[in-house]
Amino acid sequence: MNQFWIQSLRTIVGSGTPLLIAALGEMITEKSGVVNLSLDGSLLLSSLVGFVIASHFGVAWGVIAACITGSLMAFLLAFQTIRRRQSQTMVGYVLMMLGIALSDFLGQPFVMKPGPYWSRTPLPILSQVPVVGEIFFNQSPFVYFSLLLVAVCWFWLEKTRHGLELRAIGENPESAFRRGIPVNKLRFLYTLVGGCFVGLAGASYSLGIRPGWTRGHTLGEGWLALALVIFGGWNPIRVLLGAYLFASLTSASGLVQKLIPGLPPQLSGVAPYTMMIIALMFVQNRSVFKRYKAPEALGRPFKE
Amino acid sequence: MEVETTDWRSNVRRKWIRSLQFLLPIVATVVVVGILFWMLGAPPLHAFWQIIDGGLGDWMKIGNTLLLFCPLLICALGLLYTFKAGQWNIGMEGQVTAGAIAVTLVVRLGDQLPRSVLLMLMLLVAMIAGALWAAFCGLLKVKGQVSEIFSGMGLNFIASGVTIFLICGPWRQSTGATLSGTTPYPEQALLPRLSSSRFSWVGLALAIAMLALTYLVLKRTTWGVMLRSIGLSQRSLITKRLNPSRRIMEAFLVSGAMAGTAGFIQTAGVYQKLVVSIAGNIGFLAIFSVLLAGNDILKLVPICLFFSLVMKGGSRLQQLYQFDYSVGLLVQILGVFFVILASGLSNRKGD
Repeated sequence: MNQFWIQSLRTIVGSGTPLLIAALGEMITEKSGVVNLSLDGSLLLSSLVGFVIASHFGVAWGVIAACITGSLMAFLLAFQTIRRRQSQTMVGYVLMMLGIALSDFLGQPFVMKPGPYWSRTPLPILSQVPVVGEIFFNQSPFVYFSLLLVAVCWFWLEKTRHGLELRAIGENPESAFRRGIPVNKLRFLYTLVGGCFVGLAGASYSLGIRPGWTRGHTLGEGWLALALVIFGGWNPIRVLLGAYLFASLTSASGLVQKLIPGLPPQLSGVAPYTMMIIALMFVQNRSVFKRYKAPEALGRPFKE
Repeated sequence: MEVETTDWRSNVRRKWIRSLQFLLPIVATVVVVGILFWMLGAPPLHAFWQIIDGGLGDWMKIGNTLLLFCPLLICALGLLYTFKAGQWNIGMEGQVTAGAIAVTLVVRLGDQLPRSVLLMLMLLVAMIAGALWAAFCGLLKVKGQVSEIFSGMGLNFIASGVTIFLICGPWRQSTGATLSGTTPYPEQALLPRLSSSRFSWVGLALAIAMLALTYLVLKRTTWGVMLRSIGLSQRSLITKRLNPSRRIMEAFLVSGAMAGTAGFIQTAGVYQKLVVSIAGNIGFLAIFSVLLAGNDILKLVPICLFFSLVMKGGSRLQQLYQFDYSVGLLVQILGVFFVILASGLSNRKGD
């Protein structure tokens, strides 16, 4: 396999990682029955906070701060929708706009400022493996996190009793409750966990593939992550494949942009959203995607 | 079956909660915004006064605030149709933009026409363009089962991209492409104005007309009641006979047409050309207005007035303290956020 393909695949894996992490987090939240529409705002805010903290205390603390920010946003959502039984769409939407406006306003002093980030660190033995090693194991630590998280999510969901309970509270909370599973407590917990993932994803932008901070640094990515959960059929492996597929299509559109000079430059900026709509249309309507059904109780508050 | 309690204690508590739900958001917003202002170097009280003064300081400013109010109210009214049908028309921002783009096209092609003909044509085209853009969301929902939230947001981004392309490309100013917008409209493409303010009776007339129309249609026509039934339950046997898909499409078309009208006012009145953020967040603010107003159509008026005041006053803060231009939006969103927190108080367990 020649170098060009290997390098391209490596770039794709790297650039698809933030979306992957965010989508995994949202997948967990949705598996438990909660939709977190605030992703776009959450990503922006946590990526800003991560950048600011990292500039003063180093990248590791920045990542932790970003995760906490993501969880905080998720906490607000969880509290209002689970404890106060308000509409998940409404609360998520307001939180999204809040995140965007706060990050625009508070981020002013940090625009275009240089900051630290996690650069590529090849893993000792694994990166020596002929093709796979170069693509997956010569990356920034965020990529390693993402792969680990995919494995953990898959194992948790498929192989543990906790994972079964998670699936239960999202599919049929009434029966789960009758069996003694604390539906709302678990929903709260899983929403927080999902939010933590989203925070990590935010950090992987400003401290990873898109170092620094600009206005609207990650604007729109949250929606792509949300769509990715649907496109991946709420399954961690398919979400991973979807994220990389998406990253490759985005790179391809950027390439097309460069190769055909007559095209308007905004095309590659707009392409992801067109692809998102097409992908959703595809998944909702082909019967071959029957196994991609959403958790039954998604979006419905559960009254204990 | 629930037995209504006549316990005087819980009645008093409920009254307390209602007043808190009104006061708490106001206090919380003022406090938090005050802290944010102070953190960024602006004396809070002075900044608050500037917002009010910037919006209501003199007749010209009042006129401009009212001009911002009109498209906002029209969008909020448009959203009522889709909300009643159970849909979240988040794509309104893009529909306003689509209307604005169509208006600009007409202005570029038809600036030889007499003023009244030109303006009416602009309005018509704006409504059609907005309706068509909304039709995409409707079709994707009805035929494709794609959530209108995703198609709406996606189409928003696409509309935004198209606008930037036009401003920097085919429709750029003759002095060179600039992000400040296209060449300003010629005089006959502008809404008739009062003296130095940009306020136009046309905007106000449109807003009032749509308010009356929406009130009548939603409350007094069969179609309005059908929309409401569909919003409440899409799967019951009764609503199946109402052809919900068709109704949802109709709701989106109406909503989009009104968004287009707002786009018309934004271009021919407020900005007087096509700019990058021509919808100016009206689509999103309109959603907040509807959320705050609940089921009460008339409440939209004071809420939208308040939002336009903060928008207008907020731009003053931007000049004075070099605040980011999102400051007005931030104040509004914080207000909505606290209202939502407070309204949750009545859902506490045990109440």
